[in-house]
Amino acid sequence: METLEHLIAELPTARAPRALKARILACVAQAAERSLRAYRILFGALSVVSAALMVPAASFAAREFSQSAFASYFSLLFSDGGMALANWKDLTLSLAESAPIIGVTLILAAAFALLASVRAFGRYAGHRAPAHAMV
Amino acid sequence: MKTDDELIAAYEAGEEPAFAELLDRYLDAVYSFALRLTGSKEEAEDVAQETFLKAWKNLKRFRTGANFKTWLLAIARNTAIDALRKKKPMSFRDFSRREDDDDFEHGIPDTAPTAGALFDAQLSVERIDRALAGLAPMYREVILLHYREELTLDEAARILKVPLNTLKSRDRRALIMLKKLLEPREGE
Repeated sequence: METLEHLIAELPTARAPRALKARILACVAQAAERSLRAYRILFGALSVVSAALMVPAASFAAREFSQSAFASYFSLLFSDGGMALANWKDLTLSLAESAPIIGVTLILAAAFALLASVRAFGRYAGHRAPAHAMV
Repeated sequence: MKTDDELIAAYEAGEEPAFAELLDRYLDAVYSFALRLTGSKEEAEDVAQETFLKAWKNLKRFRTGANFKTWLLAIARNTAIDALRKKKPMSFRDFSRREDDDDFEHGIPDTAPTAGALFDAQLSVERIDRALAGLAPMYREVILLHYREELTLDEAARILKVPLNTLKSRDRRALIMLKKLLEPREGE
């Protein structure tokens, strides 16, 4: 004897209209294309912005470098190696203190952002949205 | 035949037809569930379309090893509820009634016809579907998920985001109501 629960379990599965599958696949393809376009725009813009930021970062680093005594301390390594070796602790400390850290950090950050965004842009530019609409 | 997890991994690796295969596998189930929940073919088509689109967008969030059909039905249920709410403003009670009267509920004698009587009454698919449509959505979805889609009460509770005991009581209440709706009326 069947129970109501069994009768419900055996209710037939309604068949989806044939056009529905194609409609869903087309919809997914459109969404994929939209998201690809958005990523391309985003990473393209980021590439341009980070490339543009390289210029002020480089000029800031150059100014910081020329104003610091880093170059003088650094040249001691080559001009007076014996003295540099005898006072290596003091020289290391002076080099560390006078290093244009902010400028170098800014350049590295801009370069990293540029590389990452160019790489991401390249990845999305090479992608094609799924050709679901053709199924 | 590839498992759902293998198809998802294949799609993520760039094998486009894998998604179409998942669609082939579950489109009828999702459409059928949505049709019984919304009661309208157009609405069910929109819900099925929206469900698969949401599933595609969130495919990366799907936990490997979880049941893909259960995940799809959860999305379909939420999409259908949103569609029903947009179509016809529903009262808060329709979906979120507090059920803290379990003991009272379990004390009610089930006077509805027995399963045998129902079977003898030659229940047709149309009649069961009509009776299901007569249930409030919060009861209909329990019946559909637990008995039609054969999800465990625990799985259904997770989909409906209600405590297990609440769902058990809702399930019992839903069956009683359904049996009442299936009772032969005078003249039938």
